[in-house]
Amino acid sequence: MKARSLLPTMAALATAALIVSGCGSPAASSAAGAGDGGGSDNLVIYSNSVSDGRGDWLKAEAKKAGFTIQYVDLGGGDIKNRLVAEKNNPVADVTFGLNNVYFNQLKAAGVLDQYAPSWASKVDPKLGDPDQEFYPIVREPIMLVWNKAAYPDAAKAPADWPDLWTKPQFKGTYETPSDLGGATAQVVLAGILARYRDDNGEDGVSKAGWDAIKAFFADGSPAVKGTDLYARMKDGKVDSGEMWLAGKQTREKQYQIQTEAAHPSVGVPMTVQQVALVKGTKKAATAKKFIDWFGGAQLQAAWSKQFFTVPTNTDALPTSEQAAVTATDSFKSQDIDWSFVTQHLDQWVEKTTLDYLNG
Amino acid sequence: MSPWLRTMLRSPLVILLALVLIWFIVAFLLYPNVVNLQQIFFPHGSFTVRAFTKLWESQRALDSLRNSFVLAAVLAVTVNAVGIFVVLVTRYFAVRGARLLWLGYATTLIYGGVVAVAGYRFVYGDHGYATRLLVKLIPGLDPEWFSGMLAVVVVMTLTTTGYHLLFLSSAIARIDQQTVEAARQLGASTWRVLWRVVLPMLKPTLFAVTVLTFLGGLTAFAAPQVLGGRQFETITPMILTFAGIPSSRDLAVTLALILGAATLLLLAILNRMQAGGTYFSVAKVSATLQRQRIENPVANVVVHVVAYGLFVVYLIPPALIVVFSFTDSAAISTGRLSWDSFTLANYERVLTHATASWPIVVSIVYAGVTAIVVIAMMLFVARFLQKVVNAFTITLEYLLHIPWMLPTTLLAIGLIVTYSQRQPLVGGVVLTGTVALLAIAYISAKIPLTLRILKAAYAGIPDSLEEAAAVLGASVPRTYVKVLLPLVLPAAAAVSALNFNSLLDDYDTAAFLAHPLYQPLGITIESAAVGSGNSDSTALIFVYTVVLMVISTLTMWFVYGRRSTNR
Amino acid sequence: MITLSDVAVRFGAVEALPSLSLEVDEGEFFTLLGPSGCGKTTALRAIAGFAGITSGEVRIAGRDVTRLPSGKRDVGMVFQNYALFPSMNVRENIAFGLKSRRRSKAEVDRLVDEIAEQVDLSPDQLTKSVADMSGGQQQRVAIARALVMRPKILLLDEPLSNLDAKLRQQLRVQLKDLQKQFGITTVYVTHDQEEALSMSDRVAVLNRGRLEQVGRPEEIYERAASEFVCTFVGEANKLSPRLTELIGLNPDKSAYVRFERVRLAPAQGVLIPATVTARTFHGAYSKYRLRSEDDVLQMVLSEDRLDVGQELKVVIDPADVLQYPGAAA
Repeated sequence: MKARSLLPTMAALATAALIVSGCGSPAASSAAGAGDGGGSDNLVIYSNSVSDGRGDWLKAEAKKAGFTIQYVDLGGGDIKNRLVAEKNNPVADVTFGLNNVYFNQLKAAGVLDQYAPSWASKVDPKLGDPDQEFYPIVREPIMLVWNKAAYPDAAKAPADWPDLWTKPQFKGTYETPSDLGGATAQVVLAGILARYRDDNGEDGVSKAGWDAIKAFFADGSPAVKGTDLYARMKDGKVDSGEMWLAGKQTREKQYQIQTEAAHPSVGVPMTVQQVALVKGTKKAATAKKFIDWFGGAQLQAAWSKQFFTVPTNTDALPTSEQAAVTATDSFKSQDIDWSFVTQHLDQWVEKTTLDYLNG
Repeated sequence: MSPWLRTMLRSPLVILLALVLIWFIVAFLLYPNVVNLQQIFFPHGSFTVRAFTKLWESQRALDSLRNSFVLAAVLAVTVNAVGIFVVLVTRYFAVRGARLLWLGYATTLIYGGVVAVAGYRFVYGDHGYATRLLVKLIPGLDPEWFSGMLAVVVVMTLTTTGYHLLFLSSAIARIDQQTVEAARQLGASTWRVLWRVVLPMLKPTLFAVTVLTFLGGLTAFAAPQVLGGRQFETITPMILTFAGIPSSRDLAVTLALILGAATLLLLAILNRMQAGGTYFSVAKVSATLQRQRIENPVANVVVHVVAYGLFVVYLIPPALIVVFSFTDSAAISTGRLSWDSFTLANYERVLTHATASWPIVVSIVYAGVTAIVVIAMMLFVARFLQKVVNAFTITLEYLLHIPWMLPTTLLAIGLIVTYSQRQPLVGGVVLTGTVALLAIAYISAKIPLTLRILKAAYAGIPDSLEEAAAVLGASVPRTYVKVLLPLVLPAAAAVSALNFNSLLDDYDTAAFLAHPLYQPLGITIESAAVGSGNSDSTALIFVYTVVLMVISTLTMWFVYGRRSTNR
Repeated sequence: MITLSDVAVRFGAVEALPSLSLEVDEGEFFTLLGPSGCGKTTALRAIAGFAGITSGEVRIAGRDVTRLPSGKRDVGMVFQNYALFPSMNVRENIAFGLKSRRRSKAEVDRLVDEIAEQVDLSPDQLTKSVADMSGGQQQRVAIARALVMRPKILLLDEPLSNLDAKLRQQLRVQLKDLQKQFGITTVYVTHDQEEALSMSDRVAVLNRGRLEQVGRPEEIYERAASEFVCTFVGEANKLSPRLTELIGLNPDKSAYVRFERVRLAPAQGVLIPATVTARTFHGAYSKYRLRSEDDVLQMVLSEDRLDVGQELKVVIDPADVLQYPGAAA
């Protein structure tokens, strides 16, 4: 009978599934009792800044320093949502890489724990949290970049975001985000809307501000899922778009094109990546040691050399990548009231997604 | 009270199982959705219709909703057209090489979702093979021709004919040869027999499959997101965006609820139609129906040409994925092959590197555990619901269909919001941040189809078998294990295989609920597919896809293939 | 052996069996006969324990089994479609009940071999799949499966209805022989009056849930207690008031006479002139259709000696006429 040969088959499949589940896990040591790490010293780190080889490099460095770490590597918004959702049963021990806006939201949600790292005195307190719940590690400009091949004459290139929708020659030549889940897209949005603050306006922004956003998306070329801005610039599909400093550096190499960043007179949004201890971690002692090591001058300088970043730790500055420092300092920091942005950003994302994103 | 029910209620095991079932329904199907409704109407404690007014004022939201419904309606037509055609040429008409054709069409059974979309883009996208060929033939052609609604409809039509292959094929196999012979003997032409005799007999199955297709179109995610572009945005990507912003979750839930309402309407119709029969059958029937010859030579040639044309279209994307999974990133990004392009490095990376192979393991375990738990639960539940029909069990059955009525995202949001804090319903445990949450969502999602198929299977067993066992003094459990179970096992195995395969590349649910350290394959593939799009990650996707196809094929072979060789 | 006292079965609003009382004697072959929907199968299922009995009492061998589950009633049952378990071979089917009762393996094997021999199933048939067996063989397996449990009574639910005429004849004999051989009290359900008459020790005729008559086959046939029994069992002429009066009986009551009791003259009874209008040949006998004035009469003769159009006189003995209250029309 055919039916009878199926029973052992299904049993075999089930057994196979169970056997497979028992081995081969990179997280095997922390598999038991998900969330508490089963008593191992394996640190779980949530970060949006471990792609492009950064994670592997850090893992190797951490190993040398005596830390075993593993990542949850997701986009900024996802990292934040996960941390908030897992607030009552945290999996993460440490989180780093999100910008100050996200960290302020995390703080408001009660996800973070106070910890002043050993290097706390080496960073500008204005960049971090007055309540000591998170501390700055890297500052990074969010820029409007353009393809040099498209604008041989730099004077003809867009000089600031509003140029894109106010000057007809740029219509359709620049990339706009196709969704606002990413940290960079949100900062660009904030950088534009912060210029139109009006406490009587909708979501704290004047009508002119919303008209600007409307025009920005209406005249842009929406990003294509799975195709990078630099690939599209190389193909001549678009000539400009948003990028962060380290991203510009790696992509120019990867796609073999030359780009230039606009230097608007109002400045560019200067985001500050932070690091923090997650409230409720069962490995607070190791986690604190890790934060001390990670934000310390030595590692931050090495990280800077590797990945073209500018550390906030003043002790690290002399030995860090000077080109990155120069590039970053070439930008004026846009005067943005970040607490205002933190308060309204979700509303802005919602409104833009509903009303303007498809032009 | 029937004697059967009386016997059942005497068993403490049955009582326990019933209580567990009711608990499961309340805790994981009902309560999270109550929390969802609360989020829409009482997000901050007081009643509001903010979500509805916001959405009503948003042209984009309305456009997306309209597009979703348009897509669903169009797919209901196109998928049926292609689906009926492929089933007819492989199961009904005498077409040369029908077995080979079937293998080509069956590729949709072993891969789908974001992976399939990536495959089609690799062929028809602006750098794709087909596009380069077309541009040479039609000089003015826009290389990005394969986008918007056309591309979405084409890809989804070709990749969602799986239901037809499974359900319609077995419905055709159940058609009585004599009915067809009688019609022919009365002088009806091939087409008239098909149109007036065969298709009407398939109508219930077609209707059921149409509903599934419609629902699939309504909640489409990967294809519109990657191929739709700005001109053809649909609702699910928007739901995901809003679900990601806690203060906008009411919008996500409201949108999902609108889809749910449409689904509910359709299912009500389906239920009414299905009341009299069993239309989801996957049981294998011996092929009694003889292949019908197409007598008109022109029509015969046309059918053959279309059949093989479709075969090629079906086969090219997965075939290229397999080929290019063995090439280096240069070959993948340029689409040009030479002998030196071939390498095993991609496979080496996935299969030996723990981080790269880990998602495969996670997916297999989740899919396996889910398939086993669901079938174990539903073997019992379906029997119970089939034997005991009263107001209580009818309500129970409707409640078990909740995962079909509401989009997976809605249930996922409900679960994550509900169980991110201590809940007495689950013994005061926080389920967020545990591996259980995703398993619960998977199990819920697979309950409806499994239940329907098993109920149909049980309904096909004559009552007298059970009575014969009872009069011989066999206990209810013994009767079940020895007499009934062997008879529903083929259907159970088939639906388990379906469940297992469909979960391997799940993204929608995992995106919300996966434990961060136990991320299934769908997440990995999705993030590689929509991420930077560099050729290294494309190579990885291809390898994952091939691994998925191999696993799915093995599963299908275990369930279907071996039995036919046993004959 | 079996006593049904005022047994009533109701399915929701439908009264499948309003109230039935019956007595079946030990060793008897007892048949429940009636048209479909008459309640005969419900009655059988009430004995087997499948129909929820609303009121009344069922006793088997003196024991009240009304509330007992069917497995504890000491009954064996053969179903209309035999209900053989398709997932088991012949031996496993027969052994199923014994294993349910946790008999030792050796005992199970011995009993199965014994019963298989008694019902004429060869050892190599025992390993066959039930799907590979003919209808007759399947019936033997079904009977063996029931009898191996040594039940006090055997219930048969139209076991011959799915078979062709020739096989039905053979299996009737096979069934009756087996019943005699085992001497087991048997309740047999059928709608086929010929089957009922030829096999039974006693027959109960049911109509719309009510018992019309219980008796030996001869009694049922010759002294049908009701108009329904008279017309359902065997063939009879319904006599017009004119003929009834002619024969000398009360024309206000309906009157019947069996075909074979319409005789050719000379014989004892009342002479009726008639003309032969049609003849059908049935092999061992022929059926004739006669006209007498406006009335039609049918008769059977084992010898073929009448011609169509022939005029003759037939005889009906008033003692052969069955009369029932009610309109004669």
